Amino acid sequence: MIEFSEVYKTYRNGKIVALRGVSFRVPKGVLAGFLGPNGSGKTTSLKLMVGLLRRDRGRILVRGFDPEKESREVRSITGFLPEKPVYPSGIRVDLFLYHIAKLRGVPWSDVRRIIRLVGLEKYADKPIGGLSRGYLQRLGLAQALLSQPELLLLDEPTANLDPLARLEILELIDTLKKDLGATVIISSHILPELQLVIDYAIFIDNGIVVDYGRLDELATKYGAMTVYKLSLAGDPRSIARDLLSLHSVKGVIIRGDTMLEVHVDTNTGREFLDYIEDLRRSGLVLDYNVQTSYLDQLYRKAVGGERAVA
Amino acid sequence: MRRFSLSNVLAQAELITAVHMGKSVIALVAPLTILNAVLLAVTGFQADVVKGIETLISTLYVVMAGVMLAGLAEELSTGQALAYLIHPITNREYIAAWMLAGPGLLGASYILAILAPIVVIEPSLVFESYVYEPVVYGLIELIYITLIALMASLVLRNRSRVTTLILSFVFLAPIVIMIVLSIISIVLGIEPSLRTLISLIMVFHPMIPMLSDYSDLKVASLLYAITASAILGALLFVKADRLEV
Repeated sequence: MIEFSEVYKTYRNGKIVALRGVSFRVPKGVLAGFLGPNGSGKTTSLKLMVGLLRRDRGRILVRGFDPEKESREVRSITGFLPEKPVYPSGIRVDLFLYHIAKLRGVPWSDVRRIIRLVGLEKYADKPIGGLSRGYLQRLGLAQALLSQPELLLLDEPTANLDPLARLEILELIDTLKKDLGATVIISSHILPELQLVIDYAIFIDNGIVVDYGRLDELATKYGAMTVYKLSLAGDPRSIARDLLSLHSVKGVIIRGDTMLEVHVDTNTGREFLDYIEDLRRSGLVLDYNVQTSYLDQLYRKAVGGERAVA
Repeated sequence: MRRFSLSNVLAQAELITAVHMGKSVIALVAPLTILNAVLLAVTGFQADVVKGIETLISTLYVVMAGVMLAGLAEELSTGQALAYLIHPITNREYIAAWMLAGPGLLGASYILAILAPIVVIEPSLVFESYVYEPVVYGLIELIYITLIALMASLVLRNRSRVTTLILSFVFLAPIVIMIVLSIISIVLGIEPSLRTLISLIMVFHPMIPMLSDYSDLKVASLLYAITASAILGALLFVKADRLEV
């Protein structure tokens, strides 16, 4: 879906180097985390993806289009939520979205649907200037989601939000990804919250992408512990006991009557996965998903230093 | 896919008008129309009076228009431009929308402000050269100054700097030219040349030669303003291609 190849970008006539030969790929359909500290080059990379900035060198392809030369094509298939969006404050929420719908060739009925989807109904006829940060972020998501984009770029979508609003936005993104089937890239410097939703990661540090790939593959590569969440139909205590007898399982936490959190050595995780599949077939495990709660650990290992992200 | 979408330009121009100009244009047109009507009614419709009044109103209008179009600098500096350019509108269409909303809409409202009182009070005068000539010159000056304001906005990306530049261009520069010419005349002990003065001020106010009897300067100022505007328009598109937000 996205391919960066040896991309360089500087500002102020080369005085500030933002990207130093960045190369990575993002396959179609993943929910990718673009992870790195502030100033590492995340926003620059996202802006380059839609042709808002011009690269100094290198090649960028977004679904086969060059964003610099074919910005309309790329912007047509992309929804973008900027990090610090600024909207015309005196314009009503719905009128602003109608304007965006006009640019995207989307019928007005879709605007109403999107307003409902992101929970902005109460504020649809209010001026944008009166919205709180949380609702501004919802407006940002609404404008990004109009015309059901194939690619969704979200730049620090939870920045400056209170904890409740952060959780709401992340849940909304997770739901949207499932509903739309879009490729989603979320840039963030706050790793713990992203592990709830992403299945692919790009680690960037000081303008260099140090590694990228599927989370489980990265976890295997760096020997990180993988956390699985299991939804159960059977007794959690007896299942936990059985799981602890496995060589690969390093710890189990019982979460209520129907949930287990299992910490698994990623390198020997196959044994665990085979066992879980057996439990699922027998109906004791209803569902399970990967939650590598070691993004920060992965990031540190990938950059090969002690640099913390958050 | 289309290389240039007129519907995008129209849609964006509509939004720019609503955000940056809507109320301001009404606030500008209404009093200037009334002022124009009152001055014309009080002083009569003598050719020189009409030209003078229309030049005065045109200058006020041009300054206000230039200040309004500094809104582009504001959109670029605050990041509001990003809210539009992340959608399928190209940089060229975005700048074209500003050109339409600026010289286009403001030009139309300027003609309205100047001609409306005359059409109401004495419609036959509209076809007199001393009535329509200032409108033509004023319109060309308006286009010229608004294009300068847009170019300055793209380069400076700072609303107050662009506003200062436009005010200096329209008011300060002609005064400085007059002072410098006067000093030169005194030092050299020669008679100040009105023709030289008008030739220099013409760069900042292409409308000024219209008030004089120099017919060659009148033509030159029109040619200069039209050529400069065409070059500015082309440069705006070139600059738009390299625009980063």
